[in-house]
Amino acid sequence: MTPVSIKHLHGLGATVLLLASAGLVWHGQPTPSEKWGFLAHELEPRLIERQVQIDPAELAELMRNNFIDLQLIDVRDERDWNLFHLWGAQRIPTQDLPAQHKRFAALPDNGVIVLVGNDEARATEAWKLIMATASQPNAYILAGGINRWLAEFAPGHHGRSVLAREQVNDTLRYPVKMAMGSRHPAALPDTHHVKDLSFTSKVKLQKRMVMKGGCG
Amino acid sequence: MGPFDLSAEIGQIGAWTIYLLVGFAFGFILESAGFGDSRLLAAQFYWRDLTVLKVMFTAILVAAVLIFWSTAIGWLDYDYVWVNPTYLWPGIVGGLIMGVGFIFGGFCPGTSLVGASTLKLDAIWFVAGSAVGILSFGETVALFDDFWHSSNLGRLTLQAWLELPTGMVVFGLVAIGIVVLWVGDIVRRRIYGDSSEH
Amino acid sequence: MLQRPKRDRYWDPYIAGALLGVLLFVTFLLTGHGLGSSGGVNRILVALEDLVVPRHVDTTPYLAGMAGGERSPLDHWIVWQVAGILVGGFLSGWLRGRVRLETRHGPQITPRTRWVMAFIGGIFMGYGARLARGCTSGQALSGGAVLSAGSWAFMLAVFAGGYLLAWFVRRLWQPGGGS
Repeated sequence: MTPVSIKHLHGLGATVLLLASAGLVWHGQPTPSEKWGFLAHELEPRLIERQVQIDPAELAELMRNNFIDLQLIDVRDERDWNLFHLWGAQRIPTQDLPAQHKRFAALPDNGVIVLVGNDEARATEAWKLIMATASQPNAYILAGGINRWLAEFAPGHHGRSVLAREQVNDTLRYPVKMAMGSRHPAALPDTHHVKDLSFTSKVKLQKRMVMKGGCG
Repeated sequence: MGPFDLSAEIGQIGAWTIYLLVGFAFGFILESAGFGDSRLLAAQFYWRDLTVLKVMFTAILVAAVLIFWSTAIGWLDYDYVWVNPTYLWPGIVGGLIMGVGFIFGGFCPGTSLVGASTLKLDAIWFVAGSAVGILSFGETVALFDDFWHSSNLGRLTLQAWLELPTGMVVFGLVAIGIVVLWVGDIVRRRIYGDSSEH
Repeated sequence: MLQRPKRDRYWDPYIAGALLGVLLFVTFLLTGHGLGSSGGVNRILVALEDLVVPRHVDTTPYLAGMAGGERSPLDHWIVWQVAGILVGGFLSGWLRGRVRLETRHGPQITPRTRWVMAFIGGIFMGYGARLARGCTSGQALSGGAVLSAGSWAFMLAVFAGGYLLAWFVRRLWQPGGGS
């Protein structure tokens, strides 16, 4: 190879690299929803087969489990939050979730995230977002949301009939008389209340793939 | 989607094999480029032979472009990629000390292994010295433990620090790299004439 | 004396760099992390230390993290990688007739001086690499490729250190008669 050819190769290589990196500027890195797109085929089945939607009874038990680091994330509006929310929950609107990805990704192995909405639609969107942006933590969705929670744990039974009649549209349809936030007795149900209920336990502490690297 | 938990996917032996092969390719390429020769490595610091700069920058930038295209199209999950945590001052001070070691010793840890593998005596002495250095560190780090753990900025990336999109940072680095190496070559030939090859 | 080629023929640096870049990328794609060297040397040393003074290893926090108790410091990817480097470097040198017991040194100094300097340089390198939590392979190449800010700062510091001192030690490397 004459020297001229090598120089041409260098020039070509530099041009290709520059164009490729310019392409990166144009294409950009994946947005959270695009990221979900890449993961969907692997994770969507979990939603469809209802592997990650947990019964209110299971959540009630988790709330009293000292060995689990429970992160209760409420993704509802402030108004619904003020009317009623679970004891120990944090209110984080869905759009603010990606910004918290470092915290969620750094959860210990016994960390469990449960997403809570009035029904399931919003919580499911939040679940997808967290799985896509926070290295797939142990995250679950409260099946039936707050509406079902209150129907099962709030004193009196009139709520159930109300819910049976109305459409599922992620609004707080359970009749809450006063804004009590988490001071409502159903915010942390008594153990005897929960013991009678049976449920399929779905929460599994997955051993997540650990990022290892660095020079020893 | 990469990366993979190798020992889970292909077993422990499979994982070790991959690491052996990666190391093999690394050593082979380094030796082929001349990195087992301390004179070549040191010549970088007199601007007489720019092989070190050229190989390092080209490698880093080619890898970066490939890595970030992979994350862009969903081949690689950047959340799982190991980004060295930034311990700013220990890194800078350690780097300066390593620079001293480089110009005195003519090697860095990786290249000294390459040199030693081809029986370069100076490389072997260097490896012995680095053993002493490493052991001394293990014994003395407790004395300045606070410093060693200081200025931990965590998983800080250039794009986060500059608040620029990733692609722009990569493009900027490529452009700067091309200019630096091109001009650097001109400077080199001006100082030493065309007799120096790289 | 064996007849030696006037100049060893090495690969074109840009081609070598591009190949290295591809290797680095493939490593990240498969494993999620990059390359490394000093950590491997470190762990082999700690393994030897653990054989000789295990109680000391167990009671020194920095060492215990790698080899305390039943933990084996060799049970880490970087050890295998370092083994590969030695084999790969050797094979490349052997195929091109570059495996020779010799000392590369600047024309103004003797091999013996070179050995002393290499040893001293090694001490600095070893110490600095642990302080910086990596070396040019682990921090500069790998950290640089994924745009870790600390790695880039580190890289600049290494070159700064070398260039600042270069003039003062030019006798080690430069041909006689000045620059």
